[in-house]
Amino acid sequence: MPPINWTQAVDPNYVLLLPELILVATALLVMVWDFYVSQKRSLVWVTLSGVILALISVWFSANDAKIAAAMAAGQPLEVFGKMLVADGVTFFLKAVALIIAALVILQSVEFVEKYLRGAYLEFYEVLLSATLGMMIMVSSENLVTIYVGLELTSIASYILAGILRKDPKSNEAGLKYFLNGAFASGILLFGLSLVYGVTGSMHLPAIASSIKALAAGQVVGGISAAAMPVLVSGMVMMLGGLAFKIAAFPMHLWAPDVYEGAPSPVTAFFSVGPKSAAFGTILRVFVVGMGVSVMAEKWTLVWAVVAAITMVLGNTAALLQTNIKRMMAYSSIAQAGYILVGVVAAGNLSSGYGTASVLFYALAYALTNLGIFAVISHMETEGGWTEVEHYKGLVFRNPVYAWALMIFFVSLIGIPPTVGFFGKLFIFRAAADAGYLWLALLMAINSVISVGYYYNVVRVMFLEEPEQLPLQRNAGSMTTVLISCVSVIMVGLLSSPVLNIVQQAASMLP
Amino acid sequence: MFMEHALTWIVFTPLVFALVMMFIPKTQEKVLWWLAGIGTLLPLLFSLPLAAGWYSAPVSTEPWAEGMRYVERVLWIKEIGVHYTLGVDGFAFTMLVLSCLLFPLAILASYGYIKERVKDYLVLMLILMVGTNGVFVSLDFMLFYVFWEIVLLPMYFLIGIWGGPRRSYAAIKFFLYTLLGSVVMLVGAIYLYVRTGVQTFNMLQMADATSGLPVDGLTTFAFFALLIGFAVKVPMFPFHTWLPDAHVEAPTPVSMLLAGILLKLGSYAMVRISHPMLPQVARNYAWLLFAAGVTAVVYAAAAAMAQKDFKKQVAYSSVSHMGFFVMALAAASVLEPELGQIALAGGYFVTIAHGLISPAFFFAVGMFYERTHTRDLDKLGGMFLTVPVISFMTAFIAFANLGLPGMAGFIGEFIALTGTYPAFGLWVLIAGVGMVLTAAWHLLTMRNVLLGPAKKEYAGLADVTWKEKLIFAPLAVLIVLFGVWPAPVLNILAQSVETLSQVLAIVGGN
Repeated sequence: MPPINWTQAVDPNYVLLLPELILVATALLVMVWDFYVSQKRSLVWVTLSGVILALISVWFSANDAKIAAAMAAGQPLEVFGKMLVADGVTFFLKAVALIIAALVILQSVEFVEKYLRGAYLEFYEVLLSATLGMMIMVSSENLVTIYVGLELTSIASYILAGILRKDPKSNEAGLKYFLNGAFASGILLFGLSLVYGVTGSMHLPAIASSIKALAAGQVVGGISAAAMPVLVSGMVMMLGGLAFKIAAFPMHLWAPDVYEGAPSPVTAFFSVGPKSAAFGTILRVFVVGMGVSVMAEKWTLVWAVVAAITMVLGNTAALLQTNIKRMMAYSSIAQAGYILVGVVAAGNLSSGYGTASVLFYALAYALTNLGIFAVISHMETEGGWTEVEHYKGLVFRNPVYAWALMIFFVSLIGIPPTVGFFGKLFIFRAAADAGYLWLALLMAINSVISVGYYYNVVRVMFLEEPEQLPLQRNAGSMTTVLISCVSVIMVGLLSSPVLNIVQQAASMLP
Repeated sequence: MFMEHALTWIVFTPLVFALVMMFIPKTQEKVLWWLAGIGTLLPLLFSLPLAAGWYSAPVSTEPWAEGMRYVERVLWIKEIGVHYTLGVDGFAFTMLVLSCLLFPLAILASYGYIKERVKDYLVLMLILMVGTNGVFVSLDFMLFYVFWEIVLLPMYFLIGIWGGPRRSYAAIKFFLYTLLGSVVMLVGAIYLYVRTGVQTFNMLQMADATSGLPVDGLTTFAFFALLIGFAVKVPMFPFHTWLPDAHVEAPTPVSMLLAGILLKLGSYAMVRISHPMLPQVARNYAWLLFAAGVTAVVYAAAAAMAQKDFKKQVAYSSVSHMGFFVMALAAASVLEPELGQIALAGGYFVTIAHGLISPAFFFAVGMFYERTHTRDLDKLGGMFLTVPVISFMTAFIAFANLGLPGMAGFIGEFIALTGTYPAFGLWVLIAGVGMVLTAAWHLLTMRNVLLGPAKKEYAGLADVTWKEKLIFAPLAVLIVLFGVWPAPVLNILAQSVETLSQVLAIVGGN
């Protein structure tokens, strides 16, 4: 037996890993920096520069000669023993994850200074780890690696939720998130082991080819088509575990409490960060791993039902909320339902618009929601104002916030000329093309229902008199709001380049 | 340079002014009023050379703008085939000019009437103008939809902030109705796009492809999805219930615009989108449309008679007049082209006449309200003795509204009724009953408000001002002019009317 050539077997590619490496380096630097400076606020800028540097490096690694050539040929590189894959979805979602991290850091500045004076290091360190987890999660086609990334994000998230140690609500949020999350991870892991048991592989394309062989009646590794029910139950369990991450019905119950209890910048992160990574994972697991029609017809049905219930439930429950963070929790449940429609459409491989629409919407949703949470963060920082009634007369207290919030809500409802509209448009188109007109129609009706609760905030902001003084300056939140506001309008109106990128990315998934 | 992009100039000039005004401090009210005045007047000036050169302007023969003048086209979202395509035919151009005429008048009517949050008000008015003008010139469905929805938000705030006591309720009712209509419309349009596989959202090219589709469940769905979106705006019976509320609460200038131009978005969209795209379905359900139109004529007239609020009466009369258009459109979709074009021309002329008459009528009601602070018919009375000139103006406009020969309203209704008769026979007489009821309530209201002994609580009220004359005069002149000499309008409409009635007939199999 010849000696194994480890370099060849592992096939390392550090260009692909560049963003992650920069993030790790930043995390270490932050830790050291904390020892030597007394002005802890500077930690923010170190973290932020690291994230932005990583964001730039995503562009470099995507345009690396070898990687770009492989992508152009339609055969994306699989490196590190096929643990990581360098395709369009990877780069796009990595960029989204880093944009999210940057905007969360930006809006957390004042909050951390006021409430987390002693925990600067912890906050940014954990935030970086969570981002790192997300990036690993989206760049893998191997179930083990995906699981590792997912757990890194999850554990970091549990800590973030409970980071206000003296606040019982934050503690409750952390504990609740942890217990439920651990349970969901267990389900996911169990489903994963069943899939592995039947197909004999953790590598998604290999899983796909063994399912194809099984469906064709061949016997693979001693397993015949009779094992299909085991595979299906594994699939359903994985679906359940991933549904927890995106807070979809019936695994959504943790979201309102966690969103309400966690500090606002953290909630901002939860509402878009782990979610967008989880959608990337869902696309990979289901479209790549189980895109074979015999499985696809099963999971599209399950996801379609889940999507329908999730959006109706999220929107109707949000109508009853008086706390704006809880309201946004239900809103984000509803939004997950919308994105799932895109996932369902992606199940129809002959149609092929679903994946692109999911990716586009993930970006659209992140840009919009982070803007909203920047305002919420400011309000919580300044006076602990988290009830909708605290937003009375906001247009007189800070007109920029009020008008920007209006634009963000318009984007979430899906009214042009915002990015949310174009996101919805692409999902509608994908759904109609894949034969799910009823889901598109339900989604359209749901976006009208959602006006009910967004409108309530707008009414309070514009049509009622303020009870408090004008807001103080908060550079971090204001910058985030302005960045979000400009991108919500510009990415919408100039959606063509972004759409081009996501379509190319989608075409690399089989 | 100007003529090549004339439509772009007309649409976006108000936007430029709105953006400039956002950076002017709100204490500079005089500057803001001037800017708003100029910003709304310029589009009117820009439209004059287009009107003057109408017959010498080249008519496009490109498939994406067949029969259109002043066309422009730029690629916008390549990936889904969306172009920035502008162009006008008779239907669009008459409405565009009407809109350009009404906005400066509305700004003038607001001067001195709107005293709070002047800056917000004017900026919203300008954005509203961008939306309405944009709808009339767009030849691409997505562009159309963007403008269509841009109309929604300014209108919500204009009613919700500057409206009457129940403004909040009226504003959200308007918003929800129209939003529900338009999202359903969007799904319908996307379905047609996917079904035909045309890869373009150009309205004319889509219509070429969709008018050949068979009449089945899904095309019927698409037709009604489109139609309901437009019917809410028109408003067609039974989707009209938002209108009286919105009008009663809206400030006078906003009412003028709402009745004068916003309702026409719906009627215009029917002749531009729903009927040309699916004439085969329109033909099948013409009786339904006819029934809705006739019911509106009679029911709204009767409802107007029962009102105690002067403004609500005028609001119901809008529903009644738009009923004539709906009825005539239904007739045109079953008749042969020679007969159908009479109905169509008459029906469309009704909308133009109504666009001149109803703003003037709402303005007259507003003049009384400003002086007496009531619209209650029981409290008004003897106005001929108190404010003779205003009363004369009101009597003039009331006669115009009830369809007195010699004024624009009569011409439209007469041609519409004559044109509808061949299609639906004596059923048309029901609309005749509506006309009698309309005449009756106008006479009753005039007796109530204008005649009788002078009331002493209104003694010493100031009569008409120069500003009011300036607003009223152009509308009054045009009403009489088109009443005795409708040819200029009918000639501009002729080509478009002929084309549409042929499209409706060819597919119908005549």
